[in-house]
Amino acid sequence: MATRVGVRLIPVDRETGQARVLSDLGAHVAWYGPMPRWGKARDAKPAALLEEIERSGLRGRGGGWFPTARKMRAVIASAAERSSMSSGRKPVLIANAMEGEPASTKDAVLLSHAPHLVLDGMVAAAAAVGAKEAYIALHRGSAVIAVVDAAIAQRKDPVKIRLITPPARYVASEESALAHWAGNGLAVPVFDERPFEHGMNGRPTLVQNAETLAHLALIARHGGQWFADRGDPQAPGTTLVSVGGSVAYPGVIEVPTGTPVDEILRLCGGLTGPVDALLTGGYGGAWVRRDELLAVPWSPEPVSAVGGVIGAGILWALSSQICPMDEIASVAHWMAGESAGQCGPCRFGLPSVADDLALLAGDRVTSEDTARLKRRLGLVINRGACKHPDGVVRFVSTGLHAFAPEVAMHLNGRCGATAITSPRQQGRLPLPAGREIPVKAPGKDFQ
Amino acid sequence: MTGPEKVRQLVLDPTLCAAHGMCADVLPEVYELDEWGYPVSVSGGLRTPIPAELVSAAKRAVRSCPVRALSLHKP
Ligand SMILES: Cc1cc2nc3c(=O)[nH]c(=O)nc-3n(C[C@H](O)[C@H](O)[C@H](O)COP(=O)(O)O)c2cc1C
Ligand code: SF4
Ligand code: SF4
Repeated sequence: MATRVGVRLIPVDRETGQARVLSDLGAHVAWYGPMPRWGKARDAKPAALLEEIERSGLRGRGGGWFPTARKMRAVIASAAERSSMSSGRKPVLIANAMEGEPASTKDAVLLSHAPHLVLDGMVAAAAAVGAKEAYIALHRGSAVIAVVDAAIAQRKDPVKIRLITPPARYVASEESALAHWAGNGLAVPVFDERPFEHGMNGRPTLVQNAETLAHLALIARHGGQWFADRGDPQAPGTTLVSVGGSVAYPGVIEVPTGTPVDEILRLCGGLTGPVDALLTGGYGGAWVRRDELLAVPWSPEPVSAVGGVIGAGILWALSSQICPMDEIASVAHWMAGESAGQCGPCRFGLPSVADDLALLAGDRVTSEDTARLKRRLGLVINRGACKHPDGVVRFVSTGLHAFAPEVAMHLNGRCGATAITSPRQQGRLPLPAGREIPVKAPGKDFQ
Repeated sequence: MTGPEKVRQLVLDPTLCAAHGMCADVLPEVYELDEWGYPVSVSGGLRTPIPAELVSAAKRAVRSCPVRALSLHKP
């Protein structure tokens, strides 16, 4: 990671240009400065902190870019309503550091370099909504469990922070699934339950992405105006991007929101070969053709205007030498296996879509197969308890659109890709070990 | 405003629905079954606006679902 103006979260050393590892609390405080004790001092009331968060314009970095202050106010309102009605249920905070998207590495990079920043953010978020309990969720087997564990052990916080490790399943990190699991349920999404009203054990639950909380830790130090002074005013601040595929230096980079995509790619050493389209947002995201994306500012609204999605901040340049049909089919198959198997259209629809795509990736596909695929894509959308199937549909539909010339070639029994696609070589989309599909019902592996 | 007034909302919980298909028999104006036997609403999603003239049929559909996946709400 090279020295650059604009980096806030990642502790990049100005002299060496390297990112430092601030796992020691003393080194962390020396780098970022001390955390003000929000919620304690008379002039540092939670309401004042909430105002700073509002002023900052911070939007969540877990995928939805939802305004953080608005979600916090909803949690507070729900808790107030409860306490006037019944025994009064205190809000809970869950830091979502699950990083379910296989092409995303930003939360792990952030936690391995600045674990205390995320934990500071948890303290601030808990103070803002009045939570006395806070959990940080890392997926089982995550590489940063030890770092986070050691960081928690060094601290004395006004709120008790506990590390939890839900199963490493794509949908386990959806917020209602996370809250359900934390309350001793299965890690599966719950229909029609919004965690801010009814989350862990029925309590108002604030779920925020790890990066969102790191930004919050800096807002708690420097104020909302400071935060809002950088980046796109519609979605201010800096943001982490996991850049992968056909670039010279794949990895995580921090840029102000609104940085043009070609600038982000240039900071990663540029494209290393021909690329027809890039994947934005991950496997629940969208493909955009290169010529339509390069000049676009990396910020939610401009990216969605060209059919893309920032989501959890993923940008993957797929080499033109790799068959995109094969990539899309493999990812769809993996995503089908990640369904919680609760909702029919997801449980049966996604494997069917994956089967159609496997035909398309081969050389005997017919126009009937593609017509059936398109019909099924229309059938699966908007019918699940969570957005998992909708994300897959977007990933596939935008892929068929962005790679229309390749679809046409496959229909003619040809493939334009030159690379030998087996074994999986560099530049192909990552696929963690998957499961057998179809899923029957959420079972042991969601415990 | 166009179309008839929507007075209720019929909500389908997809985690409960087990493709019994009664709803499509009782309320063909709203649901048809997909290739896997699960109901697809005319409105596309899980929440279907129900006009006054269909409210009693919708109530029957709610009662006929063996797993109580359907519920009728004021919008
Ligand atoms: C299928 C699915 C998977 C998700 N996975 C993650 C994840 O791995 N990490 C994350 O922070 N948010 C994930 N989300 C989004 C969360 O539900 C939630 O919106 C987010 O953690 C809120 O944090 P934020 O407001 O700070 O962005 C996922 C959502 C869905 C529908
Ligand atoms: S839509 Fe799919 S992943 Fe989401 S809850 Fe239903 S079965 Fe599970
Ligand atoms: S009757 Fe109930 S279980 Fe059967 S298809 Fe309709 S909603 Fe699903």
